[in-house]
Amino acid sequence: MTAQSSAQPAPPALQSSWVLLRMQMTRLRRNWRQYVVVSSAMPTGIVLLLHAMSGPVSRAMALQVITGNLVLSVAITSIAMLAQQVAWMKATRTFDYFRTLPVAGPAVVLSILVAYLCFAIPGMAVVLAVGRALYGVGLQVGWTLLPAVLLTGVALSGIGAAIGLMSRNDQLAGLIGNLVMMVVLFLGIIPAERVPAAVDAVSWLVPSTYAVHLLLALLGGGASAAEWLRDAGALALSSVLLFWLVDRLSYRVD
Amino acid sequence: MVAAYSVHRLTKRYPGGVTASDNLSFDVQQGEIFGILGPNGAGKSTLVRQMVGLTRPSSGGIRLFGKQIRPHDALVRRSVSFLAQSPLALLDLTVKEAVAYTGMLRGLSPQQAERSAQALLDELGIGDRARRVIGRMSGGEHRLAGLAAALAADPPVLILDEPTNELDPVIRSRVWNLLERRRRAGSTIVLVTHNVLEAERVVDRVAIMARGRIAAIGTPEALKRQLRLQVSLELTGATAAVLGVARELGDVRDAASGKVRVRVGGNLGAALQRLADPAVFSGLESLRVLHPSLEDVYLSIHGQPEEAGDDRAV
Repeated sequence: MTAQSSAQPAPPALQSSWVLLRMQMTRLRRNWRQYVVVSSAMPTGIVLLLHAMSGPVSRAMALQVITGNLVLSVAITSIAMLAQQVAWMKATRTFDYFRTLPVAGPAVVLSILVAYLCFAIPGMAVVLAVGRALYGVGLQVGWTLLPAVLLTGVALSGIGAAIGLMSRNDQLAGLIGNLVMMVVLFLGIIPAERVPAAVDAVSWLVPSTYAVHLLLALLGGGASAAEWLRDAGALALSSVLLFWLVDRLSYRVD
Repeated sequence: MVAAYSVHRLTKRYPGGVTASDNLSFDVQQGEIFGILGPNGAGKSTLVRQMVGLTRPSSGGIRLFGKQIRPHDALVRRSVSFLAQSPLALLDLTVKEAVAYTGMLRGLSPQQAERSAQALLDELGIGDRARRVIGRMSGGEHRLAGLAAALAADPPVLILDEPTNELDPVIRSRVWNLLERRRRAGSTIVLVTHNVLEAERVVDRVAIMARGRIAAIGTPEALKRQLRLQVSLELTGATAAVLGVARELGDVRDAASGKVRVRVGGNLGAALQRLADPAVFSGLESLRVLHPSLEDVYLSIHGQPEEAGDDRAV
């Protein structure tokens, strides 16, 4: 047997993804509380603020506020936190540990995202509960919400990871991530008919718009299968394109 | 047998004109411990980063087991384990988790990874610290945990950047013993280190780098012969008589703190006879014969520090 053949075969992608996720969950066991607080405080606060300022609103507007803030909750973890973490990993050469192992770069990014998303779910539950209580709207909360949230997270995390990989340092990545998150917030909450046509057109280039529409359809009901497919398909396509970019960026060498 | 690594005319120029690797060519044979020595800025880290595919060469090439490698080459990632200078990715994990997870990411089953992690930690003498979080441990323990993770799954090639930094002498000795055992078992080890004295204990061959180039390469013995390094005598309790004889014998290097060091070259027998003169011998407190070491080779290339202290008595 040659030395070369004595190397272990690379692990199957599923095994390495599971191990990477376990590593991330283990890593976050000490500071998970702050992630739960951060991902729930801001969206819940915005729901409360909008209700306090506007008073009772139509069902459509209430659903828009709730779903917009659900997407914001995902965006906080998938864009702002992920961009900062990925930029830190790049700047400190922490990525080198993973880049010298037989695992794919996007699998590393996805493992961080899924770990963060786990801590965003309590925040989303708070947004749903507070929104329903304040606006008194019926919400169709079913199992389909979970894959929709996951798909939203993956699509938005492509943006977060790309920001992190392209930024010089984690402070800059955090700044850009927060700005992008603000865009997500505005495009998600303000109904299309209240924004200029140009802004509405641009909003269809951003995955968060499809995420809001998909969550609106799931929570409010009444959307056609074609609309569901369009939104889920757009999120899936964004994920593929963005993760292709992440793959290129994470394997970029000096 | 094909070389583990074959580096051919490797050059790396960074934007701004810094040449970190300047036309480097050398082989690392399978089953040897190959040392890369050099001061800070000599180009050691850039060289090993190219060898593991983290940095793209400007020109030239690197073959691993005869196959040309590219950045992030699957063969490299499967066959080569790299211990970088800091295991930041592992800081929030316990020592055992870090080793076991790394083993799993290198293809071990969870059961194999758990078993081999504990065995590895026991071998390194840190089995009792398996459940401690790496980030809460001392710098030396960080290093040891990172080394244990690099050794997980027993990859055929190990590239270790300063593996014994911050380790105490007992643990360092344990690490060198472990690396010797790995070499005997067939592993190829590329060792980047500043610790020249200890490197001499384990390396089969060594490349000494200076300003991106290889200033010398070969076995430590061959390098000593090549550079015609001389035997020295260290005389303690130097009286005026001893000092006088030392000056007659050869090049006196150090006359500080009651010690005289004198290079005697091939005239050791004659020098000892001269010192046996009762008038001289009565003033001597101790006499040590200092054979040239790898550190002497290193210093002859990179320059002697002023008032060098050297306690390599053989």
